[in-house]
Amino acid sequence: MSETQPLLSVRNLRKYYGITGGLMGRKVHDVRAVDGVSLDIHPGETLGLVGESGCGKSTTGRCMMRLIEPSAGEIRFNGKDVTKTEGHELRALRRDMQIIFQDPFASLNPRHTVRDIIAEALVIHRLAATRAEREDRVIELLETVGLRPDLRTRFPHEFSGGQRQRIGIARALAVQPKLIVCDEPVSALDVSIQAQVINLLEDLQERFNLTYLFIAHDLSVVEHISDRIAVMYLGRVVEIAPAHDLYRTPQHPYTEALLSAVPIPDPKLKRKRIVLKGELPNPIRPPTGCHFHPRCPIAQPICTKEAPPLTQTNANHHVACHLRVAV
Amino acid sequence: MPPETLLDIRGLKTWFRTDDGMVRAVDGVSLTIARGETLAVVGESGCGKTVTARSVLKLIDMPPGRFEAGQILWRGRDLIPLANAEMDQIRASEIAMVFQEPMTSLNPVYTVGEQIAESLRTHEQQSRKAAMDGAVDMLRLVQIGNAERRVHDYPHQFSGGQRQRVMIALALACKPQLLIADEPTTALDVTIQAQILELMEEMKQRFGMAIMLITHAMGVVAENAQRVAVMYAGRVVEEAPVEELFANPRHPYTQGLIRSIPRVDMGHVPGTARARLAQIPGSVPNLLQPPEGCRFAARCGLAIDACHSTDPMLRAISPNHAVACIL
Repeated sequence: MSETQPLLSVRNLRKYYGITGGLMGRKVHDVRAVDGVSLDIHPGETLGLVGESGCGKSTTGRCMMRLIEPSAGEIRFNGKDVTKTEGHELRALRRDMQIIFQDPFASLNPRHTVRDIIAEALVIHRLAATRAEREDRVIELLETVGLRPDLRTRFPHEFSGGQRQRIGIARALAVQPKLIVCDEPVSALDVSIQAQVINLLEDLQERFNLTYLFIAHDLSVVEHISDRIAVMYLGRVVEIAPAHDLYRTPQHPYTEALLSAVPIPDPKLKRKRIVLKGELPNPIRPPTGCHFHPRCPIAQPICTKEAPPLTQTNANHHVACHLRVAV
Repeated sequence: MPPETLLDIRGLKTWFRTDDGMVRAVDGVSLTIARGETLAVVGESGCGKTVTARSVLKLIDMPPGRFEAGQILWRGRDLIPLANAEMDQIRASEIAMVFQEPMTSLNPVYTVGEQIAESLRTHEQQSRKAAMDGAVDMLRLVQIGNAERRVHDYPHQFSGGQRQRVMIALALACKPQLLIADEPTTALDVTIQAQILELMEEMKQRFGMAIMLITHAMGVVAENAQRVAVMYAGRVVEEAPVEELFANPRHPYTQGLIRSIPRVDMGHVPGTARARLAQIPGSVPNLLQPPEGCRFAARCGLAIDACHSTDPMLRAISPNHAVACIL
């Protein structure tokens, strides 16, 4: 996969939020939500982005689409620098990159019918010349995501969670994007519905040759859908590997602990669990050196001083750990 | 001699009157919990698992709710006819509850120490001083660092995982014989979930209490329960010891639930076709007008005509495995 040109390439992406305080409202601290992330996403693949709350995975996804302005770094989509694009060009770029949100209720306008919600994208991007053409396209899109087209005159509240997520998917597909950022698309759904939506996303990927950035905290779901997985911890990527390798041979101690914490639905399986001590540190004053060192079971003096760079250890496997790379 | 049965719910029906009619949230549920065991009650949103749990402590607003039928026998004594004052004796000192969202169940204007101490003073008639010391001990027990100082902190000063620890400390302060934990880790990250589940297991060993664990996550069930009751649309559809349930699920809904979960230890091997997740078609029925016959029939791949007319009873298929399916 490495020989193909990446569809999206991110280098040293940073997003700091200033905290103002004091008498003059000066900036006193930065929250380092994203602190130097580099990633490539290749055409047709699904890159999973996992990590716990507050690790910066959603911010990373949103910065890539410039729904949030990054503080620094470079984002290239199809070779074009996303961070320098403005106005007309940015709009064209957004046609190629769409996003599906976690909460399908909060992301659909409650006063618009399903038809209006899906057709809006067609209007903005001038993708349908006539009203009739637009209507045909809405019907086609609803059928694509497995909803009855006659429901298009209904409002979002009349649908269940799973159906609403299908509406969100139809809206994203309306502009025929190349890349879809899926931000926790199934986290709010019940397991039986979760499976329906995951299968739908996989079918659509095959049918329309889509590329996904799949952001989620549920490792089992990410492992199932992704080709490669990037693990984030406190604003940084600590490990990237093919999904299969990551589970079988995790190299970063955080990845190991994270994987061992995932409950497996098999009562016969008795595993050794690595229970991490403590909690995610404050991103305002992140620990020095490796962000993970205060919770790391194998930390050494060097880990408190220097931040480990993301280093290739074998084919397609990258890890940011002083101890696992040196060996 | 088998361990004493603590809780014996028989044919419980908890219904809610709404503008649209009667919602049969819990519609004929029977469950037992023995001393010292963990029973998991598993099911998707709206299956009635939380209403069942809250019914035990009579934490249901009446109206709109009402007990339509059934008994809740706590150590042989029916709780349903008990007056509120008598229930107060049982709440916390005999049966305690931990909720999903600790922030909404802790009082924001009292320190956590005051809240734990209040429980000790009310139920155990301890002096102010002794109760405050007891609160510090409880916080220490649930591994809140620096307990002497943190006992004076307010709930908002704790993180999500710590708040859940505080909730557990509060629930366990009066050494209940049964702890009802309603989705105790759903709002938490996996590494914190692992910590909390481990803590609950430790507390269970220490106090010899029974746990009723309400959850939707099959992985959590597999790793923490001895016995499982699967609920669907207000009824128990299957009940078995945990190994038996996962090895030999008999109800089509249980089978679908187990098959529809992606497993982190069973990721797809590169170069092979990705396995599709089993999905359960459709969504849960409306409990205003539950369908005739088996409530799962409309989504069941095996349903025959009789399923739509005959109401299946929960019947034993082996000494400790019961299923509600006519097939």
